[in-house]
Amino acid sequence: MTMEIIPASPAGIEKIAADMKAEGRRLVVITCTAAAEEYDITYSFDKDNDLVHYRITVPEETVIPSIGASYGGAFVYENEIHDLYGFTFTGMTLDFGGTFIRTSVPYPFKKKETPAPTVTKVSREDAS
Amino acid sequence: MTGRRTVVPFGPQHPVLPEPIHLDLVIEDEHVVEAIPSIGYVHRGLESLVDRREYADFVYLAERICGICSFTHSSTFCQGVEGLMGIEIPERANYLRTMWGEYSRIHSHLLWLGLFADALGFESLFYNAWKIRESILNELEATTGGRVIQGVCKVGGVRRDVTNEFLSGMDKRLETIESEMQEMVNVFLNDYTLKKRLIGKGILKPDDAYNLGAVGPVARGSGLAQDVRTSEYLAYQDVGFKPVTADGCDGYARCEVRCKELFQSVDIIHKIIAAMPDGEVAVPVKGNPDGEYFSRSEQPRGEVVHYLRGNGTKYLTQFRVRTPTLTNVPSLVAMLAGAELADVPQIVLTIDPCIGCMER
Amino acid sequence: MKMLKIILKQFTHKPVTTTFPAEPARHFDATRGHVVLDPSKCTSCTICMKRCPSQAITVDRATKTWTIDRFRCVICSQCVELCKFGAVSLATEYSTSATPSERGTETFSITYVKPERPKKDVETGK
Repeated sequence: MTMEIIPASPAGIEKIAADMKAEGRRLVVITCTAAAEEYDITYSFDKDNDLVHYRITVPEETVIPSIGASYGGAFVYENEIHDLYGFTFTGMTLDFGGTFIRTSVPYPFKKKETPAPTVTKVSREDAS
Repeated sequence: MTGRRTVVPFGPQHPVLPEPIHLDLVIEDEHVVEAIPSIGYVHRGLESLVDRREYADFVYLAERICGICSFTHSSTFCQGVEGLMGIEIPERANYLRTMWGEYSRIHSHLLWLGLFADALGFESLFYNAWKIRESILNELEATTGGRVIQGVCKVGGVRRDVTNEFLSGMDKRLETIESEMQEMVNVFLNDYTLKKRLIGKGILKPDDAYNLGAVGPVARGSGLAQDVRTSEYLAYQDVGFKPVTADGCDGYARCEVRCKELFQSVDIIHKIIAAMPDGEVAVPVKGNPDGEYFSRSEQPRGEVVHYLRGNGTKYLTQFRVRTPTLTNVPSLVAMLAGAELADVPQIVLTIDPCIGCMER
Repeated sequence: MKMLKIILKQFTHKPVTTTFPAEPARHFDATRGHVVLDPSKCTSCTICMKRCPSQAITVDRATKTWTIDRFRCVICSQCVELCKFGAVSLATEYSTSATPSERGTETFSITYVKPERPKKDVETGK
């Protein structure tokens, strides 16, 4: 499981996905994580247990082209990233418009504006 | 023949669903034209807890992502942290992890077979499957201390050792369990009623399975030999692993894969016990994880990916999990298109949905 | 029809289930049942409170109490491994069902920690 991550740009991700598909690779996961200032979106493709990662680093609320044209299964990850982090994907094969994961806090994993709820501690009064 | 299209909501509360998932089924004359899934009923945001717990403590939380594949979650998380810190775990710990991983696979598959039989209205088979599962849970409890949440993995190895005498006793008991399973699987694969309800239902073609990213028994039921256990992880290379596949591409094929995997897992456990090396079960861990890592392993339901990122402190900064059920949702949508309304419950079950796991 | 053999077998066998309250539930030596504290060994070092993954343990140094919320505790036995004094241990029986108000939290009130110091003095005195 090598950990080589190839940087990419949001505009070029569709082409990368098409190339990966032509190579016969399978989409494993699209991972979105908060980095220092921006967000990292990592696309992982697999063939015979060999993982290839492509990463785009984008600021909040960027519009990213969907790779749904190449991988029909990408819509679950893209909708999830939209619902949890607030990115917009264009051209998803199935667009839920923010209702895929219904959370009480909008975009719970987004950094600044709406911080994720802190650890809840059940008070004695509630318990009894 | 085209009638008016109606939308039938399926779930989140439905007798076949142990956990909430909602499907909007677009129906035309009893045939499903399209299925639109929506999740989010049990989203817990567990991943964001990672920066509030030390990495050594988070193992217990990672284990609780899912109640059934709990062991694999903890071992994958530990594997990830060990990969970040460059820790080599002792051979014996590796073998024990493999053994428990296979035990949890057997118990998960038996649970699924039981639930599946129940969904088809075959209650005596359901009880039988769960009866056998109980003896597997007994083995797990006697070795790890927990029935479904084993809590036995830690960063650097495992927390409990199993004596060699106990292992040889286990070897014998497994033979009894195997013969019981043989009887039960015979019913699953050869019963007239079950065959009638499964063969040709919920078709997922190999190409579709590959493009939609199906993993685990769903992919293997469509003839794809896709299994993370074929890669270098745990002790699978030492025991010689070959994935089970079936070519039916339907519900029966997926059921067949799981049935055959029961015996394959028993086989692996026999080999593991025979080849169990002696020595320590854990190494002391010093330092903190730094960098990022993708850790993969094969759960009963398919491939799981844990993404970890550390910054050199006790707390990991990012943790993301991709569970097999989430990846199998597009395949489920493909399977449901064209199915009959009456078959929908059992088609949904053939992907072995685990919603708690899927949403974390 | 394939099932018939298995079903008929059940007539000659004992039931697999146990009648729980009448018969005690089975458990193994390794079973993690519930956490117990030996109040005579606890030094209120609070490591169990700090490292509890589910925040079930509260140690109050001022009032000398060690409280465990049984409904939060996940019996991971982390506290058992971390305790340097062997004060926390695991019992193999599962804790019986209860309502939160009835037996949700359990407080081990007195922690006999004091005798540590004079004993050392006596030793050095000798």
